[in-house]
Amino acid sequence: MRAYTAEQYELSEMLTLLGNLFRYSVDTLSEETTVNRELQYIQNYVKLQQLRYDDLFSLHLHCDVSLGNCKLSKMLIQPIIENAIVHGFSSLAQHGRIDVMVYKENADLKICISDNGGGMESAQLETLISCLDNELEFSGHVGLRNVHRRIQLTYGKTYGITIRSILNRGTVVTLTLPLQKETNHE
Amino acid sequence: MNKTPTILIADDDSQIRRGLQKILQNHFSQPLEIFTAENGLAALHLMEGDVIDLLITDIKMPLYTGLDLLDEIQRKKYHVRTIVLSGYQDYALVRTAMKHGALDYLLKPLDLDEFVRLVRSILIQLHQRNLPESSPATLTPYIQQEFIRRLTQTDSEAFLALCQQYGLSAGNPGSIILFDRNLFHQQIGFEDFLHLIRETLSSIPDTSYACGQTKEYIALCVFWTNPSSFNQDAFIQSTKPLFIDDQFHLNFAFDTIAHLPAQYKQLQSQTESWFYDLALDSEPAQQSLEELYQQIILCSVGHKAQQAVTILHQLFSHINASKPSRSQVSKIIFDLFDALMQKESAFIRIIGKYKLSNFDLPTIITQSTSLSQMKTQISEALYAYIQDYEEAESLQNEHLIRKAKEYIKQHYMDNLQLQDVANYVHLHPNYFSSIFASKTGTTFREYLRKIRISHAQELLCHSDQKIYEVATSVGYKETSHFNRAFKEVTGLSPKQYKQLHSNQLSDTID
Repeated sequence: MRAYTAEQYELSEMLTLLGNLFRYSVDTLSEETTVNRELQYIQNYVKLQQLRYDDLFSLHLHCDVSLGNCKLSKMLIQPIIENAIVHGFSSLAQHGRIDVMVYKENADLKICISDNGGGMESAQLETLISCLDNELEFSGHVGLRNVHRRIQLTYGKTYGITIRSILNRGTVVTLTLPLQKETNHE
Repeated sequence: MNKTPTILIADDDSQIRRGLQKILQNHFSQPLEIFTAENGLAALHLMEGDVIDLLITDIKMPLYTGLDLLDEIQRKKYHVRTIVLSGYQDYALVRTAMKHGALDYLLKPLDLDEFVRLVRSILIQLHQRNLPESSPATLTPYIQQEFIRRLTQTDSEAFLALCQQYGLSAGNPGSIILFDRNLFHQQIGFEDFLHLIRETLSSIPDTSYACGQTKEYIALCVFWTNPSSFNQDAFIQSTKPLFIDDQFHLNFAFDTIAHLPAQYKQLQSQTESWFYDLALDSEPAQQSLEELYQQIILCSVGHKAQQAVTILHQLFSHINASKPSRSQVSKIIFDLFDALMQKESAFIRIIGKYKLSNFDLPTIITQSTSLSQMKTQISEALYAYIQDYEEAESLQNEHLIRKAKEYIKQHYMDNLQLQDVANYVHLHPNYFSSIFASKTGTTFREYLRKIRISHAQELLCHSDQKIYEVATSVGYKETSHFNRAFKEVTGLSPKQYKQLHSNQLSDTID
């Protein structure tokens, strides 16, 4: 409130957003959330990052409306967005863009997160992919590996993340999850 | 005679020493003799007798720093070429190192590609040692690239530092010319053009140049090493072969080297006009962007791929006529596809599936160097999306109709209405009725009646149910309705059918 009265609107906005983020992450004891709630969280998170990075990039959400109530584990998307912002746009001349696409494929829920940032060389990509399933050796890429492991522990080995990347064109991370509609109370 | 190049790595961090040694061994197939030293003093010792060709040194080392080392090298007049590694983006320090004779500097953490490129260019120089010593007119490709890089990053301080290093004082005359890259795609290659530049400029006394390319254009910087030999008319006369077409180059009058970065900035903003290479329509589209969006989206969801592409072309004519900024063009196209996904969520999956392929929107939109290129590629992408959409929808419909048929087979005995089945597959009754007819070749009512009557035939033959009972068990409330339907389907009344069947015993009329 003090920031608001001092007319530091930007600071006030940042604090509000930060509060929303905290509330969500400690919200309920349950680990589950819905697609809509997770996307709402992502929007808050990105807004905060945009204030920080001076609108260097924009976020575009595309979600099949019928999937908004699908259930999924919390905090699966945010680490990937964070990666895109930190690694993807560090050396970008043009405006950065992150697309999050949520769609259904057969009995799976797919969440495709893409950026038009720096991308990776194929060797780097291979190392990254190989360390996803590597349980013993500790290497970087904690965020991506954590998401991958959490999905596999919760839903089984047929689910997880896939990564594609082309140098100077961008990176695409796709989450594959089981399609679970929230139980209807009708 | 070719002796093996000798390289000395001086750094107090043993990991860096080992790392660099490995990188050099892995990236160069030619034999290299590599030495390492953990401080400046040890390095100096190894350089005794001017035996090292290339020195790669850290600045901050205990006892004897890299700058001390550079001083001593200058004092002893060694011919070693030096690359300085620095952990700090400290221009003052870098400039001092350059003044002390360093050839170039690289920041830690090291950009591997940049490092390898630099070493390679130095090895090539070493190989051509018989050529005249780095006079500005024979700037190596690497150094040329470095000039252009600093210029395009509009880092004028770094640009001027480099000029100074090569003896080009800020007051000397210079000029920048930008050439449209699209021209080179179509007509001549970059290498040919470089050759042409070399040929042309070599005849002009006391000049040197740097040439490099970006995604959109080729930049040529010309410098005069001796201001008194600057002759504008003579220069224009002798460089005529470079200017193939007036449309494809941009430059200002000549200026001093100090002003080149500012000039470049202005030129660069003008290159946006090259982007608009479509012919102007005699009658540009009258519709607003919003209207064009709506039409394209309508055709897309209506499976009219060809028509959608035709209207997309009108959208591009609209853009070509109004010439918004390059980033605005990107936004217009992105907005169109965002709206399409908003309207029909099936496109989310399709567009997502094409990520990083030839039909990837961000790639096309941001990498296109001309509007015509963008128009062609976006048209192809849209066409592919619509075809996929059509295919997916057709598969989806087949699946729904299968589900509907199963539902009908399970519920024909109830008072089943079109509405019920449509609800079951989540479709509007009218829409359901039309795709049902197109996929099965029969209407919902006819299909339901056939199912009911065939079950009735079974019951009439194989049960003792009375006709009115049969009618109820297959879903007819009124026996009269049942009778009429039965006759229409089989040609016989239920009564006749039952009699005929019991007469013929085992035979059933199908």
